Amino acid sequence: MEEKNNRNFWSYLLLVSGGILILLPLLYTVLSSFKTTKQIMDNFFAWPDPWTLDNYKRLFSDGIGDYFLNSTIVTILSIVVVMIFVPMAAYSIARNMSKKKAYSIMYLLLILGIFVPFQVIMIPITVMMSKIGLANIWGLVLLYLTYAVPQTLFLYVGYIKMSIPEGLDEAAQIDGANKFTTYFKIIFPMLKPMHATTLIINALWFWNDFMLPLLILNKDSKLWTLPLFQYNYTGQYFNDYGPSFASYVIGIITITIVYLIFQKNIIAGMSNGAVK
Amino acid sequence: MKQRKFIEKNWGWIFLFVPLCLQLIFFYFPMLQGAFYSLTDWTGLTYNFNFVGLKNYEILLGDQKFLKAIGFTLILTVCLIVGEISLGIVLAKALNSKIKGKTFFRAWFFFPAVLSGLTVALVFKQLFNYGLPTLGKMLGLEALETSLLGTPGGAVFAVIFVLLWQGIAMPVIIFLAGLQSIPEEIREAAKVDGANRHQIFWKIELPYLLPSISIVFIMALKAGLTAFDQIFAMTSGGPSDATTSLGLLVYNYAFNNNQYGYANAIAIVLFILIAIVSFIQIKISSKYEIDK
Repeated sequence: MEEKNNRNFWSYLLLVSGGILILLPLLYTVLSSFKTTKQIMDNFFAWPDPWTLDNYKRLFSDGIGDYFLNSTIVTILSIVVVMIFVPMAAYSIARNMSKKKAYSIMYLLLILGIFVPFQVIMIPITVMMSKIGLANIWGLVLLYLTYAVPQTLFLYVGYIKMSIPEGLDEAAQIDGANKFTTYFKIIFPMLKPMHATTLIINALWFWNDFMLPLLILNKDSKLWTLPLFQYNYTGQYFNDYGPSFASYVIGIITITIVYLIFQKNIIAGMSNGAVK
Repeated sequence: MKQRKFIEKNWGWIFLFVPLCLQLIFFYFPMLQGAFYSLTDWTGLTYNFNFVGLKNYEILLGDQKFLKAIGFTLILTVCLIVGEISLGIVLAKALNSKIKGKTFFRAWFFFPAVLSGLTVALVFKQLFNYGLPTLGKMLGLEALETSLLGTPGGAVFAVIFVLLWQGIAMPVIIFLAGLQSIPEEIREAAKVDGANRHQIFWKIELPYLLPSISIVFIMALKAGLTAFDQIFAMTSGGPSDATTSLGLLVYNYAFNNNQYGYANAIAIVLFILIAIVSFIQIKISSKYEIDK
């Protein structure tokens, strides 16, 4: 019994100290965002005295609202197109690949991207997007849809083959439904558990991504997404970093709220995606 | 009627059409372009370039910056793999013991995984530049009084620390799920037979965790080999290229030095590295499936 208590003590100690290590940097970010730059420089670890909203005022007058909106638009649009096109393609592959070789080849072709590091296409895609006039939010959405295909498709194909029996299609067809109504009315709603997983994985990626916006949108400051704005803002206010702390807080708070609401789904969804 | 017949016959291809086209245009085409550019001396500034064959790859072998980047990338990758697996298992075991507030701790430890890597890197950059020196002065520790990011060794440590700080979240959850999948009867039976805690861990829990370990191994490996965002924001690869990863080197050569052709050659090397690793991963995981 004593040994057990002992072991629990070490578990608590480990978890609490790990937890503090996670919390502290975030806590000081929040505290610093309520201090003037001078207060931060005088003593980084001091409590804000007095608390000031100047950093946030400046952040809003520097247009954080617009960047927040850009990020929101990009994330929502990309999610919508991914949800429209990818499960549909997955259904087609899952149903045809055992009968026709062409579909197995297409499947390989579409998931190969999982194994290719982004750096291989980074330079050509940057040149190409500005050449064809798509170095903007629409171009970014197209790229997200493209690069979300491999993993998302892989997850859907696996799920359909395992959990959606083909008998359902046949029953619907006998009732006179064509492939489109079968898919939209019967199959799509049944994919709900997988929709949750792919939505979480992709939305977090689109919202948090830095590299693609950096390559595609950096030249036009009106188009910046939130992470790109945070990066440039930190560089711009190199010696006056109070406002940049506030910009991190905006990003962290948004994610925290979403996380608090959907915590269980997010943990399940992300580990689901990683394990498969 | 004719139209309807066409749709019924070709629905499979219609459903596939958009992702397929996008992949061809925005993935396969640039990939071929990249491979082609790696054989040229293109600067990216003009449309003129010469075909130079494998010369870029020859230069690579003697390029100190490239060799240094390989060295740093390997160190980073090894630290991530070792750190994520060992710390991940230790934390997962703590989470799996009979303690109160399990769900709370689980949510807490997973939280870094949902944050933007860029925001995390910027937060730590400020901490390392302004926070730690303050702490150093308060405690009279000279080593801490200058920014950690100012010295090569300090910067390497800082980058590894930040990538682990965020990268540990997912492994903890994966290992926890692995531990929870072990039937309680097996542990009980071992205890009855007189096995101690170490024996239970090494002989029972660890074998059950092997699939989780292989997943985390691959995740950490890819994260290390392609690391970019956090390093870009925190150190830009410095000081004196000490923290330039392969992923960052491609970016720097292309967009700072205007050596598009050469940068693409580095990207191809990175690709080959990942391809080899992925091939091994597939071999290993298919072996697991047979065992099951």
